[in-house]
Amino acid sequence: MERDPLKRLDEYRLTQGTELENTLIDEFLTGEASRADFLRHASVIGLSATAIGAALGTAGYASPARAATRAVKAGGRLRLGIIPAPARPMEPHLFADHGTLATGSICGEYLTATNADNTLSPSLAISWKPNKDGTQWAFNLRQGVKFQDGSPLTAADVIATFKRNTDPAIGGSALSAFKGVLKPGNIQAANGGKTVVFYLDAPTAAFPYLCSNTTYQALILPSTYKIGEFAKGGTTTGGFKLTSYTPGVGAKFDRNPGWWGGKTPLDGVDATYYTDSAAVTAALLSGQIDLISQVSFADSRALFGNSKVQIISAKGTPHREISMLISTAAAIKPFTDRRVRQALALTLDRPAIIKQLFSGLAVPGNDSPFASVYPSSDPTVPQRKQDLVQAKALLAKAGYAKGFQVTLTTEKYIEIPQLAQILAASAKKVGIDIKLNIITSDAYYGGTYDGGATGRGTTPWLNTPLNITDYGHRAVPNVVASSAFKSKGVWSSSNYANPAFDKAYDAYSAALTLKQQRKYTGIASRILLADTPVIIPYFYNWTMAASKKVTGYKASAIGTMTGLSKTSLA
Amino acid sequence: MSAMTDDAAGFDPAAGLVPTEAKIARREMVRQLMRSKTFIVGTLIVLFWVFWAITGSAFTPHDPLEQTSEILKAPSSSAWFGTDQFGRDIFSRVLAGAQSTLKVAPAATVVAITLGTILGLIMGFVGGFTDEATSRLVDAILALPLIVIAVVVLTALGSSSITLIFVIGLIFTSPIARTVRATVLGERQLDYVQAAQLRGERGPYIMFVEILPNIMGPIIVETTVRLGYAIFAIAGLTFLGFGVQPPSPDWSLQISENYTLLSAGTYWWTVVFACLAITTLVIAVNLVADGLQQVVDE
Amino acid sequence: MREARIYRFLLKRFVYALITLFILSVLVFGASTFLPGDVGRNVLGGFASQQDVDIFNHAAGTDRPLVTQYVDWVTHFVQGDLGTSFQYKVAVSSLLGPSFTNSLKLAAVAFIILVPLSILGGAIAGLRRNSLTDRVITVTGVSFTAIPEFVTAIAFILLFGLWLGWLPVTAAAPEGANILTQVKYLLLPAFALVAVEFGYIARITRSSIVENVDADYTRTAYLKGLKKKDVIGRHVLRNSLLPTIAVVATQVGYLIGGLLVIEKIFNYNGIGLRIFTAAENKDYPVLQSGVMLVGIVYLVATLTADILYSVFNPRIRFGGDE
Repeated sequence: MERDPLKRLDEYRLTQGTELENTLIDEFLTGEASRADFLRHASVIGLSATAIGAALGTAGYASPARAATRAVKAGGRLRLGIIPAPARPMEPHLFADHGTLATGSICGEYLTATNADNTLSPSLAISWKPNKDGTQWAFNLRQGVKFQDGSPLTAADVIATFKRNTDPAIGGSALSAFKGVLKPGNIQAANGGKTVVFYLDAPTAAFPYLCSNTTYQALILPSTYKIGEFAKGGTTTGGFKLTSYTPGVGAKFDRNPGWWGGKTPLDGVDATYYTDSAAVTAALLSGQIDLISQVSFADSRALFGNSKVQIISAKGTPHREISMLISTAAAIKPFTDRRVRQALALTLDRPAIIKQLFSGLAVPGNDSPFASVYPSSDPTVPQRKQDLVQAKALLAKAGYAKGFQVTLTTEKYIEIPQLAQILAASAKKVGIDIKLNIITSDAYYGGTYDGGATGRGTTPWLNTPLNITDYGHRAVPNVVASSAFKSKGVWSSSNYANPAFDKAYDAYSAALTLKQQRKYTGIASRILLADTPVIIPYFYNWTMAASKKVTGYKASAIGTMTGLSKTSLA
Repeated sequence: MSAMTDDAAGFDPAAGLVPTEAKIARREMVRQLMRSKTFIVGTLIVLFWVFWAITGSAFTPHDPLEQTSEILKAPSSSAWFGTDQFGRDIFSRVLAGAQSTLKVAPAATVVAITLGTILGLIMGFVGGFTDEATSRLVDAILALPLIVIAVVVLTALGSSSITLIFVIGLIFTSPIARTVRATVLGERQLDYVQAAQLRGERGPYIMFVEILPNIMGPIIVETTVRLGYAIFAIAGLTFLGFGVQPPSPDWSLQISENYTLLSAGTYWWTVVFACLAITTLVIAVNLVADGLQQVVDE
Repeated sequence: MREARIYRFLLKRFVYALITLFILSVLVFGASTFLPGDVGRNVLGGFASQQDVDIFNHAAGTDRPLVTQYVDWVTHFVQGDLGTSFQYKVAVSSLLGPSFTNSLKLAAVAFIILVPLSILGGAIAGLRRNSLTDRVITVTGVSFTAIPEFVTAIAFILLFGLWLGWLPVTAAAPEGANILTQVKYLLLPAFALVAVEFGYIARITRSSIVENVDADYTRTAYLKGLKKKDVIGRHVLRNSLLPTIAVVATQVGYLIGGLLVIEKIFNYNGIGLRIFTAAENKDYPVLQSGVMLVGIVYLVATLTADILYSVFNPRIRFGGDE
């Protein structure tokens, strides 16, 4: 007997709903938030399935369909190609490159899981809830979970994992993500060890994302874990157990019979590391492997539109930032004039670039970190389009009617060399002569990041007049906006500083409702369009390729491979 | 033991010419070269590429750097070699690409020949401890695969045409020094050197004025052989991401940028023509070397 | 008398090799210290504090005088202790060991195909000088030698791997594969190497054969009334093989340490790729020991060839300049 959804909803709002939840429900019912935005946001603040169903029903939508559990063929070992190979030690808190995080996430799990559509699902935590202002978050742990060595998962394990990731003395790679959010001591067990409560430094509406695979370093390890043990296997809770790891060669995984999620369809996973995209492409086409951890259309055209191959992708915000260094000191004066920066941004034909480099699996960027896929972004900000006439006029007004010459420095990494060539050809149309200097990623990110005469160290990516830097997926725009755009941000390749932007950003990050968030991202985005310290030509989808045998694999925009535990080989 | 010390082509180091006959011999050499088919064919092909290297994009049907929307079109009457992933005309790129290859490789060879000849002359003429010590150093450098040292040094110094020229030049100095040394050892026994020593001429004078002109034959052969190797080495390094910067139409860069497109057997034209260009140039240089070799040997 | 001279000659060669090895170690060590950038800075990254960098450098010992560091490295190297990788934090030997074995395997397969094939080709070409066969062999050899190895490799992958589907496109066989399967996986890269090297070795063999066919002793043998078959078999071939083998030995270094491009294309964990990765990531312990290992292999190979050549060649004179 179905009760009236509106009545159910009101009951929920009056009896259980927090202020945050009630605001979201209101936003949805008044049309401020779309169905997709609502579902995404609801999963973050931990709204219960009952409340979600009621709200959807009230607004006239059907409840989200439960994924039909259909019989899958069990058995077999999946042969996975991971490219590029891990470049760092196989140690979760030090993960910082695709090779390490892809390998680690096959056997490891997180408190929550970010899905392909950017909603959150329970994983080692079954539910979570913030306090009124979003400064405290309580996560209820899944009961009965065992590590692969047989010991049970407890609150102490979660606390130890987050302590390792937030302690500056240990120096993990996730420190920047937790900076200003969580201090190492501020985690406590509650509810007889069944709940973990995080006491945050500031209100953080997106905290549950920071506990998901998006922060791939926060892989839950036992409290007894000692650095160096991960590569030996057996320290995780996931569906697969790491049985062997050889740096630069590969890793092997067997089914974990004690997994809380049941029996994985696959008997195991054999991962091989590749360094050359042509080699991994040929390996998939010749049937030597079943799945490639990441592919790019620009590099592996042969896989797209091929009848033997399926392309799997997840919408996200991996992107490139073309930064123009704003500095009067160097001989790069043109970029101190924002009209010049706008002009360069106006030369790009973004839809054409997306077609050429991604075969459409990307969305245009609008020179701001507030990507259109984030619910918090203001959808009314006008999209920047190619306009050569205006670009020429702006250059002329700035006194560069005849153009100027500048060197673009960047790394040899996936499609970046191609993007650099397209940018150079586009800029040439308005008289800007761009010389390319494409170096290895290691050289590009080498050197110091602070100190020296400029306070920006010696590294090319923070000190060259014009450069392109790669950015991975983020579940929320906060880290990129504060580190690469705010005044004195540690990743600010442009050296941009505008108090008005800083103010708008701070207001956004403290805002808890979608309406308020959109208001401030709208202001911030418009400021960035006018100032244009950075060009973001596109946000692309995480893209993978598999043989037709692979079924049930769902990609994650960050490149983690947790989805393998639900995958089978037809 | 010539085959062991000389990995290039196996010529006889003792085949140096006696100075009184030098002029006549040189004239005879040119006459013989003109009769050598290998030499003529090789020279013609090299000259063809030199022409394009000098003119660059002046006479190519299209601008080799111009991007169009005609992306990855197969060869046709409008684009003879097809277009690449930026819609650029590959025919024009292959022709204009001669420039960068014929800039870096010969420059590196010149560096190597100059240093190698000086070092070899000193080793062979001075002899004694200097020779022993330098020989061991040369041995040590030869013990490392070229690509390994080049990659290590280029990673350290950053890659540009200049570093590439000096890295390849310095590495090739060792084998050249070895060859020149062996040739000089043969010359040292000859009357004219001993006469000069009796006259009281100083070492540098004997080395560079008396001996050097008489060993030019082997040095020229060595130059052509090393030029071939240099083109190859630079191609390999460019393939690994060192060396010339895009959007240069450099042949190895074209191959390196496009070979990932090959996997399904499609888009073969983006790679094949640049390969043919390298191949014809290297073969032509080898033909010239062979022609010279035969003449020097006789 | 001759024996005593041979021993003296061998001893001299051996001492030379040791001196070269010493110079090599200085070069390798010198080159890596001359690489720009602080070791600790490179390992810990740009955001690390100077204090942490100093602590790392002190722990790694890179703040000591260069001579001390060199002596320390060499003494440990000689004892088989190669240290710990900065990049992966595991023992260097656990990285270089498997890579080196892999390189040896690939080189072995390539040699087994290459040496008989190119010597046979060169011999036929040399014995039938200026015939059509000679031309075909020489031109084919030169053409393949003039195509960069990565091009040949890609062409073979396309042809034999993807279109015909006869051979695997990567070089590493699945773990625990038997020797035949392993060889099957190594065939494509080996073919690519054979293509590059065939022309060179065949050419040396050919010119050596030609030289011996024209030599006085061959004429004498004919004058003595020996049959052509015997002259060629007993004299020409035997004498021509020695210089060829010497040249083959000079290629050992390349075939074991210089295959980085081939290893990359065939995704093979060989020593070349290992050294390349170490250079890119400034992993000095791996870089230094890896390069040293390759140098030692080359020196041992050339020394062996030198000795074989000297001992078995009756014409060699001992004691003079080379």
